[in-house]
Order: sequence, then C-alpha cells, then structure tokens
Amino acid sequence: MVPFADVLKRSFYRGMSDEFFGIGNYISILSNEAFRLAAANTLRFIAVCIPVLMAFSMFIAVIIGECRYAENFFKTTSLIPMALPAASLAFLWKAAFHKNGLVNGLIIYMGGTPKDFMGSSFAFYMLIICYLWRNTGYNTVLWSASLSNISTNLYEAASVDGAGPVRQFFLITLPGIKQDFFIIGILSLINSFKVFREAYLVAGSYPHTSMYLLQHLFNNWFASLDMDKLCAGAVMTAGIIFFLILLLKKISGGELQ
Amino acid sequence: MKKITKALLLFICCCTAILMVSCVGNNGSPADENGKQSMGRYVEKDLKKPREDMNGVIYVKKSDGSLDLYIYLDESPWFELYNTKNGMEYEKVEIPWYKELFEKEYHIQSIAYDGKDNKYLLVRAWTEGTNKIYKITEENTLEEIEMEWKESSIEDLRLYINKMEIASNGDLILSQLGNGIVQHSPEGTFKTRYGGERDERFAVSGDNLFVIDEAASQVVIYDLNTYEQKNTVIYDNMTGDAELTGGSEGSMYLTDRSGVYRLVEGGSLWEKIIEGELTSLAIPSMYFSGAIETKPGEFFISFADFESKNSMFKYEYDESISTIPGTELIVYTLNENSTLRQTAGEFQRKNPDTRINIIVGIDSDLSVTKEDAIKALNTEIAAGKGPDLILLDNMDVESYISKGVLADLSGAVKRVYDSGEKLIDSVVNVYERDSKIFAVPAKFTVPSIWMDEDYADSVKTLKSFTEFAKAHNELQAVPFSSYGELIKIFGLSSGGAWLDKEGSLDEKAVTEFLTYLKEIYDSGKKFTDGDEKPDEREWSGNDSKSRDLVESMSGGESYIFDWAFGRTYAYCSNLKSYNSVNTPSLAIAQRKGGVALHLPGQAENVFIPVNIIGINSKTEKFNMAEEFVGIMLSSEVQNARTYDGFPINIKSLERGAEGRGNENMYFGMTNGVETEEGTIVEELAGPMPSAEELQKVMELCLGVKTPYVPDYTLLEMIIDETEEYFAGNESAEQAFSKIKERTKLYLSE
Repeated sequence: MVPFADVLKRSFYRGMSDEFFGIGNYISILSNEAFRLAAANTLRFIAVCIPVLMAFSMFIAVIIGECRYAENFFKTTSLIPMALPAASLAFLWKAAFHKNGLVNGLIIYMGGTPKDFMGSSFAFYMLIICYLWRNTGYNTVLWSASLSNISTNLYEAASVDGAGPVRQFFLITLPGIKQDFFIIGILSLINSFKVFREAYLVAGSYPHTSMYLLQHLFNNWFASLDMDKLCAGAVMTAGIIFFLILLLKKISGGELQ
Repeated sequence: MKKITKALLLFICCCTAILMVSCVGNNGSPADENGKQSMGRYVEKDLKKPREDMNGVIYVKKSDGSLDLYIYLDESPWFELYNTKNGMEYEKVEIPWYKELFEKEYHIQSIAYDGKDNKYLLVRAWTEGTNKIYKITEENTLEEIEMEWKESSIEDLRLYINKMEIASNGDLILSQLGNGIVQHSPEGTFKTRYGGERDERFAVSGDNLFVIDEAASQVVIYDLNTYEQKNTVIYDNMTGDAELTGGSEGSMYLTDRSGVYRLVEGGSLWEKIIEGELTSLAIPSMYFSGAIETKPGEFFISFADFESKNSMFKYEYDESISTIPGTELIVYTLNENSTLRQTAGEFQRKNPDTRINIIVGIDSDLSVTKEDAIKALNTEIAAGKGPDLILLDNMDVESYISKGVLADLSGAVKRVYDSGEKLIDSVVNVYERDSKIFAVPAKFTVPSIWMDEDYADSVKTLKSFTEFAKAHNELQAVPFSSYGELIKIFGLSSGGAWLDKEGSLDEKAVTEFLTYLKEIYDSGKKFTDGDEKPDEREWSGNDSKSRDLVESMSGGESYIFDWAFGRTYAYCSNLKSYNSVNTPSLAIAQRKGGVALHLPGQAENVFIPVNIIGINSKTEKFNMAEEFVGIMLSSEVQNARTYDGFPINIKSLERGAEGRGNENMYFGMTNGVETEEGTIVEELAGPMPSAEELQKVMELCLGVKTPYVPDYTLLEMIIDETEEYFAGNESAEQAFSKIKERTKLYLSE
C-alpha cells in the first residue's frame, strides 16, 4: 500500500517537483493521444482475449476430461508454452512473421503477395494469437481441476434421467465450476498484462499503433522520467482493473467483500 | 486485544528503528569490521623537472635507488644527464661519451644499467639502417658490442629493437619488433628467443623474465638461466598500455590506467598497491611509463602527452590518510567517456581527498541496454537520490530540464569566464532557459561537407545544394548508396527544423526536405548499385548501431576515396576533432583543392553538442559538482586530445589549430576499387594537416550557430516510411502522411 500511496500522491504533483498540480496530470493524460490509443488498445485486447481464452480453455478442459486415458498427457504438454522463455518466443515470432520471414516465404512460394505482419493492423491479432497460445494450456489445467470437483454421480444420475451432453454441460458442469470462474478470470487478466514482454521484444518501444499498449506508454514515460503522467496513468489503470475485478466477481456470483 | 495490538505496534516500531539505524551509512568511508577506518595509501606528488624544455626522457634506476634522467633537448647540447639526489634535487652529470654518438648522428633509444651500474646504450643508426649496442667503459668511452643478430624472415629486424634491459647475470634482453624477446650474452652472442613475434613488453627481475601476452590476458614468466617457461599469471582486463617493471627481491610491477600492481616472486595473485583512479594514471591523454620502485614504499612514474610534454610524479605511502578518500563525487555516464576521465583526473589532482566515482551505465560485459541503464538511473533520481553529476549524452536532456532534475550551473560557467577563459557562447547556451543554464556541452561536433572552394556558394542552403546536384549530375554530388544514407547525412543539418513549438512535425519543413532529397537522390542514383533499401540488418532496432551509422555519416571514411579520386563532387563528415581533418587533408592534396564548409541543410551552421554535463538538483555536494564542471570547461582539460569533439574553450580550440605534435608525422591509407581491368589500389598518404588547414576548420567551429541533437528514433521512422517515396511510387505529401502517422505516438507521448 505504501508504494501505491506514493504513486497516488505523485499523480497530483507537477513533474518531479513538490508543486501541487491538482487533477492537471489526469486532464493532461486524458487529452494525450498516445494515452487514449494505448488505453483503447489495452481494453480492446482484454475485451477480446479474456472471454475467448476463458471459453476456449474451458472447452478444451471438457474435451480432455472426456479423454480419460490421455488426460495427464494433455495436461502436462499444455503447460509447455507457459514454460518457454519470452525471448525464445520473440525470436520465433520474428523469424515467422518478419517481412522476410518464414510465413511470407511460404506465401511467396504459393504465389501470394507478402504482407508486413508487424507493420500493419494484423499485428494486433498476432498479439492475441500469442496470448491465447501461451495461456490456453494453463487455463485448461485450472478448468480441469475445477471440473474434477464435480461429482460423477451427478452426471450418471442426469444420464439416467435422459439428459444429453449439452444439457448436462449447462445444468451440471457450468453451475459446478461457477465458483472458480472469478479466480481463473483474475489470473487471465493478470496474464494478459504479461503479453507486453513478447510485444516489446518483437517490436520495441514503438510498435505498430494497433499493438501499442499501456505498458509501452508507461515504459516510455518512465524512460523519459514523466513520473507525473506515469503516476496519473497508473492510478487510472488501477481503478479500471479494480472495476474489472468487481465485474468478474459479480459475474461469478460471489459476494463483494 | 488492544494491549496486544499496542505491543505489536511497539515491536514493529522498534524493529524499524533498529533497521534504520543499522542502515545509516558512514558516508562511503571504508571501515573494517571493528568500525575503524582503513588508513594509508600512496599519494601522488608532482616532481620538479630538471629542465622545462625537456623533449623526451629516459629514466634508469641506479643500484643506490636514485634515478638517472637522460634528457633530450631541442637545442644544443641536445642531450643531458641528471641524477636525483635525495629524491627531489637534481645533480647534472657530464656525459663525455655522447659527443661521439652525436657526431655520428646516432639516436639513443634505450639505456640500461646492470647491477653494478655499468651503462649499456641501445642506439639507432639511421644511416646504416641498424641498431647498435654500446657499453660505456670505466674511462667513459664507447665500446661496441658485436651482436650476433638472428634475423627472422622479416628483413633487417635489427632496426626495430625498442627496449633493452640487463639481466642479473649480465645478459642483454631486447625486444625486437616482429621477433619477440631475445637474450644475448654480454659479449653479444645470441642465446634464445622468448614469446611470440608480437610480444614486446617485458621486464627483468632477478633470474626471471616477465612478458605480457595481451591476447591471452596474462603475464608469462621465463627462467633466464634455463630459458624455460616457469609460470603464467592471468591478469584480467589486460590493455595495450600496460607496462611491466622489475622490482626488488624478484618481484614485478604492472602499471596500467587502473593502477599499479605487484606480483611477488613465485606468486600468482596481483596486489594492487596504487589506485589508478586517484592518480594521473586515469587521465586518458597522458601516456605513462612503468612504475619504478626507487626505494621501499616509494615509486616513480613519468608521463608524456601528445605534444611530448613530460611530467614526473613520485608516489609515497602516507599512513595518516584514509585508504579511500572520505568524500565521494558520483558522476554518471551511459558510455565510457574520455573527457570525463580527463576531468576526473584533473579534479583528483586538485582534490586528493575526494574520490571521483564514475559510473558507466552501459556495461557491455553485463549486456545492459541503453534503456535498462536509463531506467535504473531514473529509478534512483525518482527516489530523490542519484549521482551528483550526469553526463547527458544520448539522454533526453530537455525532459530532465523540464522535470527539475538538473540544477542551474550558470554560476560555474560564470566562474570559468571570470577566470579569463573564453567559451563559444552559441555552444555554452544550448541549454539556457530563463537565464539559467541547466547543462553545458563540454565539446561539440560539426557536420560538414568538403568540396572545391569554387562551389562554396552552392552549399549555403539545401535548396542551392539541390540545384548544384541537378546541374552537375555527371557525378554524384555526395557519395551515397541508398536514400537512407542521404536522410542520415542531411537529417543532421535539417532535423532541427522539423518540429514546431508544440513538438509536432512541421509539414512544410519535412515535405520540403523530402522533395530536395529526392532530387539529390535522383541525380546520383545511377551511380549506386541499385539497392534502394537501407540494409535491414543495420536497422534492427539496435539504437547504438543506428547512432554509429549516423555519426559515421554514410559509409565513414571509405567514401573519402570517391572524393579524392574525382568520383564525387563532395565528401561529408561529422568533424569530431582536428584529427578528423587528417584524411580529408590527404584527399585535398590528392585532388589539389578542397575546403570544409558547414553541411547545407534547413538549419544554419549546425553543430552537435556532446559531452553534455549537468548537476543533479538533489546533490548535497553542489559546490564540488560546480568545481568539476569548471574544470571540465577549463583549458587544462579542453587542451587534451581525447578526439571526442571540438573544445568549447576558445583558447584550447586555437591551441589545437596550431597542430603541435603533427610535425614530422606521416600517415596513409589504401582502398581497393573494382574495375573492369581488375582491382586498382588507391593510396592516400602524406603529412598531417597543415596549420593553415586546421585554422580553416577552427573558423568553421567558431561559426557554429544552430544546435541539433540527432533523434535516432525519428530518423529511423522517417527512413522506414519513405521507401516508396524514393522509389517514385508516392508523392512527398503521401510520404509525409505516412511519417506523421508513424511518428504520432512517439511525438505525442
């Protein structure tokens, strides 16, 4: 709490000085084109990625749960992307999607026109693919753990009563894992911020505008010692994250503490 | 419950207090485990010289510990001998044997004494094309030793012997360039050869020969009686300027910029006995000899600068002062910097009780990037700490000024003026805001263009130069191989005009720049190899690489041959010192004409400030920091040839233009050119630039007006977005739109 209090204090002061600036820094960053773009991109990224990741990993977990003979194998291998160092991933990413990379080489070989993946709006989707690939396995393991808590008796009873797989999923599985929705959602949100590492290693401080995230901006502000703007931006981001957590809590049906 | 809470709070407070007390430092003073400060270190003392007009000295230690100083003079009697009596006094000694050598026009290269103070002379006989070795007899006459030279495949190696020492058994040990270290008997018979062909730095102590093996970062020890290698001792950070000298009882001393180290006989560990940072050893412009142990606890080191001006220092152990000075001034720099080291050395001389701690942010051994280093620095500054002084090269100076990180140092600048020094106002005032100076560039570089004086009117502006290029398209106006190079060249003289007051791109200025550059490019494109794209590898986001490319100005000195041999009308270079004039001077001699002018651009007479020093506004040692800045701007530091920029001190600038030390110096370079007939080797060779040429460059420096700090990120973005424009597929307006979109984030942050 102490560092956050310091950040909160600095957000109301001008530059590195002790001159009180009120909400001047907040007004300044809200009118800052770079901040608006970074915030919009970050929100768009979260809005797209987290629902897709949650749904997709849950789907995979259910499928793996059905394949009981190879469940452990899938659970183990699905964690491999998480264990790969970001630098290695960035290298692979560059090798594949550079203007003169493997993918464009394949496109040219097949008679197509090469595309500047990293220098166009496609870069944003690259980021999403990277995030999903890296985190799906981890989320799948979390969902699998949650699914294992549901008693098999319930499914057997439902089958006896004539309920099909889809009906069982909505009436037994979903309510059964609802209590874990909140924590998996929070972990997915936190992991979404980590995608900056790959984005930064691949495209540096100033990537294509579609993948310019708040972390890029904060990183650059720190490098130029714009502590006032950085603190104001951090406070606003913290507020939004807090709001998102509340929203997740609400969706998961938990009581607000 | 309340009692428990109170007790808990009290406990936490006590723990915090204990923690804080234990964390309070002792202001950097070294202390042992008992809290006592470590005492004692070697202190540097300036030695009076026997004569002020010395032009080179040979120092030889006598068996009684005194030193014989053989001094070269510019006028008769040309050579004199003085002996140090009582350490500080000199006694002149007659050298009757010199007359014979003088008459034969022999040059004395090295003098060595054996254990009984018998003198041996190594002389260079230019006319005979060889070296000779003489022994001085008791009657003070010369007795030549008939040397049995063992030549290698290289002809006449005997001319390249540069050092001689006498072993305890009387053998002569010589370093023969290209043939390693050789041992001869006192009668001149060849005995053996040590080390590789490149080894030439050695010392003799007792029965041991110590040889520096720089490539392997080690000192190799040989037995002079058995000729066998006895041992090797690793010395990390071995540099080309390390020197060896023999000590007492078989020990050996290694001297380099970091200090003086002792290796005892049979030992394998280096003991640092003199800290280089606290002495003149750390001053980059001073060339030093190896430390000579005159008596236990006393050393002697001689120094010379580029102009062969000699100085001598004695190092005595003083037990009454602390091992490390109690006060420390911390100076931060992103990259190693010679001017900073020079200033630290001069400051150290004047303030022996203060230690200058230079922190270099980008350590190549630790793979620290520029961004990492700046973040680490900013973290300290944001915490209200940080260094006392910051060398702001490659940092966002404007940001530091606007955030209040830098203190006003106009007082320090005023004191420099008050002391009678004159500075170039246009450079000093680059970072003046509201009558306060927040940073001062100690040096500056000048983007320039070299071409015939007849065309001088054509390079006043970018527009007039473009007209010139179009009208003279039978050759390239300036050498280039891609449009990116042109942007890098003329970006230096135009970049300052691209941003408006709000920090946004000025459409008119950028579009105009692109239009002119396209015309220059089109007029010279046919001479390129058709590769229109800048090399992808060079623009991989590595900032230092980009910076080097910009600073070296389009191919660096390889393009000088194009201008020298008439393949282009001009040659561009970023003049960093009078040394940068060397190769253009040769080209001028080759093509019989040419002069340096300010690089044409959208800004007038552009210069690039470098070695920008600022004081942390939070420093508690402001007065000392001001003194440091004052020394940095004074002629004693600015006179030093560190080749990292022109001095802003006018006296030093004028002194440099005199070209002292250039006399009788020649150099040359070659270039292979592929033609239909095969490869032709072009050669540029000749003397160093004349005083007249240097004078013209000085006038160029005095005429600088517009400062510009290259924005490498912006330049990279512009090059990326103008590929289609220079290929002829887009208009200048379309190219500007793309640049604007690309730079939007960067400039709006």
